[in-house]
Amino acid sequence: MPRKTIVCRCEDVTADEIRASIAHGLRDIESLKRFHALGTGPCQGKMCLVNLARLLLEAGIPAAEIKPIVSRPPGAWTPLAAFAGRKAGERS
Amino acid sequence: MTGPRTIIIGGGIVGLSLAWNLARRGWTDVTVLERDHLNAGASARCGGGVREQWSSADNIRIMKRSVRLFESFPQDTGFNNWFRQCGYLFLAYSDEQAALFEANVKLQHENGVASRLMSPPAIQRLVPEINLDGIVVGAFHQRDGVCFPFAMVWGYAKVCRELGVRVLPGHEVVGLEMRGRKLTGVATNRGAFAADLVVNAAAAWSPRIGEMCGVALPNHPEKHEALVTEALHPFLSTCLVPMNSGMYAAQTMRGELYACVGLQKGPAADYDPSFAFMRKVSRLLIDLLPRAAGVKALRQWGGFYDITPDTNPIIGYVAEPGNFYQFHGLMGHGFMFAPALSELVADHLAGGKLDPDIANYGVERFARGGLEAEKLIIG
Repeated sequence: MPRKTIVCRCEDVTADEIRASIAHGLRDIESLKRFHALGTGPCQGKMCLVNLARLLLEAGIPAAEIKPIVSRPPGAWTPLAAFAGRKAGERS
Repeated sequence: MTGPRTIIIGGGIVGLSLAWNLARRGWTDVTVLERDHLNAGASARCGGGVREQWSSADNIRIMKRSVRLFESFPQDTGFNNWFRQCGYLFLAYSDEQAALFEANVKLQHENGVASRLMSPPAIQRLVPEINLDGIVVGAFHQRDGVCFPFAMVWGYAKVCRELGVRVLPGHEVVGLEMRGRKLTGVATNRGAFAADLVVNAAAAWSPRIGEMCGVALPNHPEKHEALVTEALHPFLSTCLVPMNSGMYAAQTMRGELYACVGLQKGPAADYDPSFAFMRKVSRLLIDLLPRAAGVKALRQWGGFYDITPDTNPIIGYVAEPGNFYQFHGLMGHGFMFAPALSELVADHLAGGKLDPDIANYGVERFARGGLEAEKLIIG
């Protein structure tokens, strides 16, 4: 993967930034997520996770140790009015 | 080597800030054991609120110091904590709550905090999109704010390591070793560590650590949940705390709206995200900020408040084992209290100086009925 490839579009993180973090000791996806905020933006990890897994593999981390982040509900963007059981503009 | 062989159990902001303060006071053999990766527990799950507006003189004094430490954290550690002093606006919905705000502001002024009461029209000017229905008065303080939780944990871990503290993620404590009336070591899933002093900084999991050496602790974990929405243009400049619900809500620097609230008091077995929370928090947000109805939820998660029977922390040695120190029970507000409390605890441990602000927090107080309750526990 080229040095400046954007691994995470939501948080604007490049491949080399991830490589530097791995070299710094962040050798799992959960830690990388918490350092770079990967997976917390609009795509919720749908774009970046596979790139992270590949960079960890290339750094010599065994595949069995590479675990995904916990995915958070609601999964798809959903208006708060739907959860509240109200139409937009309606109050209690 | 200076100072005792010290094992701190728990690599959240409490354990890490204490380790750094001990190392800064010259202790050279300090180890922090964290069961998970860093930023896995409550320190990373919290909303990052940091405020001087409290209802007891002790908490106001401690938080004044903590706010200064959040302000100077980038200079002190070389790590940006993204502390944003957007202010906290508490909202009273009854005469009783208004009277509490009045008493709080008076006490805060006596302790050098420049908070102020805010009339509904002034509230409307500060937050143009707010629904004023039912709001009697507000209490506002500009110096309060919100800090990025992950950054504080990474920053403390960084400066700990620079001073020789061993910060060890992936080390789960499975037992405490005792000889006579003292602890001699800590057993983990990755081997044993000898210890002259053991600090229990495991927050909601502290009672489990206590049990390993026969120390009964009265804390329990209480589930609270959080929501983050899609990013919007900036429209909410301050952190809102409507006292009719216990929720707090703010807009991040990236534009996301976020809100936290608990569903149920009492011990919880897990902090899994729930649909019931989404229904509750969505209704509360729409009532407070009507435009929230059309805003889309992005993610939700849960975490534990570490609750004590009298809402005050548990800090100090236990009678036995005599080298077992407690530093937990921070009521879901440990993120903001940790920087200042850790200074006081480090002074106690390394300097033998017990500050009056923490002298009453020993676990033995519960046998005498506990302390007066703090009234501004929120979330």
